Amino acid sequence: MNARVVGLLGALVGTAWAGSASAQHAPVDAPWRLGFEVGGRWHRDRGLDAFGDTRSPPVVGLMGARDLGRIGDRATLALDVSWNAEMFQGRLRDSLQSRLTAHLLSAGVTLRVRTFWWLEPYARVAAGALYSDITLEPEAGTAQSGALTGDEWTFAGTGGVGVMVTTAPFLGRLRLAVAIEGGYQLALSQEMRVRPQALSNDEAQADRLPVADTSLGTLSQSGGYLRGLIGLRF
Amino acid sequence: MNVTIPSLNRYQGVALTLALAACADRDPRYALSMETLPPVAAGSALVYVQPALSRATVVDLTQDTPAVRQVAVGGDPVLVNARVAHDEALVLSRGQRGAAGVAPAPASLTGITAAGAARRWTLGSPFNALAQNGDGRYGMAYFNRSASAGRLLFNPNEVAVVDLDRAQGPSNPVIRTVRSFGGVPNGVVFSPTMTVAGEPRTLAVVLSDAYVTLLDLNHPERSEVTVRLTLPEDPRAVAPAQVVFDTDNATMYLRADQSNDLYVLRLVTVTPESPTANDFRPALNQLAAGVRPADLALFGEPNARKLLVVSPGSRDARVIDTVANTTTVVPLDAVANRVLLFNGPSPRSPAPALRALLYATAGVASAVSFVELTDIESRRSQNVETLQLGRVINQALPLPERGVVMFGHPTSATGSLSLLDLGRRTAAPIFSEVALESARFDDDQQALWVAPPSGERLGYIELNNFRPGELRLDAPIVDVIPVAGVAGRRVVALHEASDGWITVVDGTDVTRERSRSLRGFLLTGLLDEGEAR
Amino acid sequence: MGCGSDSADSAPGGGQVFTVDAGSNARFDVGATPAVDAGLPPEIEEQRVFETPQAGSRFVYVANPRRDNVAVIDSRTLAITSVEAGDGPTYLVTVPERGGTPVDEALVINVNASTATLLRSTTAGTTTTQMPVVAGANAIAVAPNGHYAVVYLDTSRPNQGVPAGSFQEVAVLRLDPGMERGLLLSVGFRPINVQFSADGETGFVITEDGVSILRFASLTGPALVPTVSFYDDSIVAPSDAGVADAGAVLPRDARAQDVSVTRDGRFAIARFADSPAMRVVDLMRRTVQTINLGTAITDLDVAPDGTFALAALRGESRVLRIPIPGGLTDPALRRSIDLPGEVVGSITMSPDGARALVYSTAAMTERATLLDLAGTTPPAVLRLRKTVRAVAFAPGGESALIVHGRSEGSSTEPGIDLETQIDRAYGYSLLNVAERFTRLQLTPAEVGPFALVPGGTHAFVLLRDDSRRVSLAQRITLASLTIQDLALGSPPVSVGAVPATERAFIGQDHPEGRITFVDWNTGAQQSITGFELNSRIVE
Repeated sequence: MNARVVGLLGALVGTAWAGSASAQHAPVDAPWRLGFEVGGRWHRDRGLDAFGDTRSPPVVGLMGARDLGRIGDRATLALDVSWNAEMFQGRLRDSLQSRLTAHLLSAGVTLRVRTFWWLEPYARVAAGALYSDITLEPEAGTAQSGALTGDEWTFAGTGGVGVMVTTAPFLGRLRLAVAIEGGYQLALSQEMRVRPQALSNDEAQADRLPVADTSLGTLSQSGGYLRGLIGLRF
Repeated sequence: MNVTIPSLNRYQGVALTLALAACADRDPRYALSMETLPPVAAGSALVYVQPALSRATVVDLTQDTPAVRQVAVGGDPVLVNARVAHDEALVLSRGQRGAAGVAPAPASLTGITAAGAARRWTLGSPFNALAQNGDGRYGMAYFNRSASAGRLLFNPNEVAVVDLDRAQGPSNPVIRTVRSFGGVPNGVVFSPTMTVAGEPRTLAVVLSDAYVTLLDLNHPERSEVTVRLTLPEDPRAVAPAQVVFDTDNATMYLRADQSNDLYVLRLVTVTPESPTANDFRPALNQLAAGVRPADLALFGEPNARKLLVVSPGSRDARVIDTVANTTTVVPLDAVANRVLLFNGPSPRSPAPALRALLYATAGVASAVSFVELTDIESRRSQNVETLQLGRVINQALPLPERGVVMFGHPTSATGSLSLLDLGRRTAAPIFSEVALESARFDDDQQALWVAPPSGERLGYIELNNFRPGELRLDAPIVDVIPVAGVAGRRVVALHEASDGWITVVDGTDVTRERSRSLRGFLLTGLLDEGEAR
Repeated sequence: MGCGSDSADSAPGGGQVFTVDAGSNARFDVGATPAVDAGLPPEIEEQRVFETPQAGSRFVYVANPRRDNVAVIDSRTLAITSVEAGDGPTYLVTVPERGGTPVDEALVINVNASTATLLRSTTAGTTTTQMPVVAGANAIAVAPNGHYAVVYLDTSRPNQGVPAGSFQEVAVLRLDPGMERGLLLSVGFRPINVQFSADGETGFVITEDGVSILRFASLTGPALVPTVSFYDDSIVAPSDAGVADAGAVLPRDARAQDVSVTRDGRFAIARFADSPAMRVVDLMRRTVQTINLGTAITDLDVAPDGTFALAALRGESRVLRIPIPGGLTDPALRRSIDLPGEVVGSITMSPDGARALVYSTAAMTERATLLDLAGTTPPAVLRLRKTVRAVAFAPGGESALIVHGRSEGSSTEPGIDLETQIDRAYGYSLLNVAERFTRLQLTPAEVGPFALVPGGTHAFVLLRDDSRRVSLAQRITLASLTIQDLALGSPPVSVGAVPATERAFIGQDHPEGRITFVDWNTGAQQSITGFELNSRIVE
């Protein structure tokens, strides 16, 4: 955290406070939200060490949400759809380049509680599908055997809490929304199986001998997460 | 990394834990090399050993879908051999010297079955060589001077005798130091079971420069017997190179480099003088065998044993009567340094009889000699028939049970292989792009399989009718390994891939449709390794 | 090599072992000067070698000086036992019998310790006894009755680099079980040979000075042995009866040759190179007599029974038979066997004294003459086709082996005729005395040591040429003169007979020791090698 971030947050808070000093508790009329997220997850499965030196690569994603309605005076229920992805990459067993890309597509429900018009802590739960894609490629200069690939889907859900800060409108109804959210991702274990990468030539691929795929074992991508979202409300 | 902050509240503690978890070190096993020792067949399975990971990967080919299992072996495995006459692989590990974070571990021998079951014997010293007797009952670990011992200090004359049919126990293995006269073991040969002093037993013959040591495996508590092959003032480096056993007469015949004699050790019954003394003693005799004998074979009735000996460059074979120690010199038209005894017909006599094929490898001769052993001492050259092959012989792959010998020749326009029919005494050239070194007979010796270096085609020759064929695979072939098959013979072609790549070929139906590959099996369970720790 | 001697009972191995015998009864030459006789050189003799396997009745003994032991090999079972002797056991002989009974005993000189070891072998094992001997000793003579042996330094033979010992000392060893002892005695200068009386109770040391007489029974301690000189009429002991000089002029430095002692020990007879003089020493009276035979004597043999001597007079082509003792003093009793046209240089008598072969090793004659000494059959000239180098009779005298010389050049040279081919080849002839039939056998190598077995039924000849890898023995059946080749694994060096098992042994040149035993009746062979190594098997 550096001075710039602190300064930005301070500016946002100040703007929100200054712009809404007189309507601090009035709800924000901006049911739609689009945003970009960046964060990280802290995975516990040591199997991910096969794909790099870190089990917490950066996560990036997109999300879209719409408020469904208010509950009481201060609570708002929203529905969101989000996608994020993270990539693990590294050197495996001194001879392979390994790569795991995980995509999480989820739909969630958020319950926001308005503290001030600009500050809304929330809780969110989501459920979706986690798609993991593995590539194991021999390093150049070693064998000419081609890469091994594999992919797998599984169920994943998240639950977390966060706080969203919304700015005063600009350019009409647009408002900037920044949120920080932390929680836990629960993903069911995936059995990852790999097989030789398909050839680009369909005919050659069809000619290949049947190859039994290999199970690399199970992988669980559960773990805590922390993400920051920045987007627009309107 | 341990951090103790008792004053933090619960939430901060969780956050800190998550942070710490995110910063955990990568499991070092994922950085270890995946290189393997040359795989071996254990029954219907292939066994790969990865030294850095101290584990074996067993690819069980019994079912259509191969089953892959990982089996832990001792630290620093250096050798994997198929156990003789058993569907098991033996992995010799030197153990761990110990390092920061790595506890020292003793050397061990691990037996792994096709089903992945493992047994282990602790050997103690970091042996780097392993020998087995003919029925796979006994194994002897020893130090091979040509390989590294991996230790600051070691006793090169220490050996460990393992009864592979018994589990680890107080008397298994038996670890002892073999008497030395300044040398170290060059190798170990095991006798077949033979009756010595009225008791069937197996002997281990440890070969060293200028002497041999006999160990009674049935009585490992008894002292060894050391037999010098030269007198102390003899400067020759007489190194035993070949041992032939006469089980009916409790006798062994030794051929040694730098010696023109064959050494005969006849095991004579004696009365032991102490509980640790042996009840036999070798009586040594030497048989003159020409100049630098290169190969020998024993034949004849138990009470009339004879030796057939060939010497390179001498253009003769010698038949030695082991009873009278007389020698009959049989001149040859073709130089020979190898003897192959076989029981089969000849063009003139359809009745099977014991005969010999004398040939020379290493490119010194282009002809072979067939020798009729009946009445050889009286008929001599009359019993010899020479067959010209037209090309010098570099290597030979005999299969006497099938009545054929495959010869490898220098590559030429006519190919590099020929197939000699021992019964018809004809040689058929086989046009081939491949050398004989990589040829293999399949498990039931119905066909010979060859693969050119870096080629994608697997060639074979049916030995029933000498019909050749080939099969295109999907990648260059590194080696060919026959495996036992529940439903017929199979051959496994190995491809170059650090993660493991094989193609299993049905030996009874050599087509792409009946072949299948397995790739990446060395990575089986990769993701679960961290959890298993 | 074995020795060529008609004193067969003193030869090792229980049988006669002959080598290139130049027809002389005694195998020594007491410093002879080269003779000049009608332009022909002197006849040639060769020496016996001790450092080879020797056979007793059943056991064969092989000395191993480097390992201070003697390998004892049972010729029946081929079992080998190494028996520790002394320091550097080198020169070995066997004791053929004692009191008429064959024994398995061997005597070996330990050169580094000046001792001798007596080995006695039975099936139960071998025992040893040590006795002192002369420093530097390299020769052993065993009395025919087996009770005594004389050990001495023979300076005419190499002594393996051992510093020379005493030139005038011998050791007399008593060999009887339980009574073993050794006595050191002073004798004449440079002993060359030792002979014994028939009863074995007296030994005669032939020295440069003369004959030193050993009466064993009277030897009780170190003593000065009475010596009778051949030369300057000096008599060591009293009773000087003078020397009869028959007018033969002998040079001052003349040395006696072919010294023989009669079996009764009464007379010693010698000749001198290039001289007609024959000197007779009466060992009982210690008198010396010179007999002038009129022409140079080229060979002198005494009959095995000692009743006569044969002198070869090459210059006159005749052999003179001299009855002993009558013919020594009465020329009329001497009988001349004239062989005109023949070169009469050397004589070899059969062991029974009934026959003799007369020939020359100096002249290039391809003939020999067979003399009937017991009967009246006239001499028979035998055409041999090759020159003669040595002759040996079978024990019974019914056969003889004649070793031939050869001329220079290769026998396989292209273009030469058969005669030249034969002359250039090595070979020997076998003689059936009764039939006067000779069979020539050409050989691929020079004829080496040979032996005739007791009973005279067979003979063995060794052939060796290392450059052409010839390692061969030939087994000869003397009744039929048939020959069987026996291929050997290593170059042969010695041959002998082992009577108890009716086998001949052939010692071979092999680093670890190799001996082949051949059944002399059937020709069946068995070899053992590495008996040195057998003693070094460690448990």
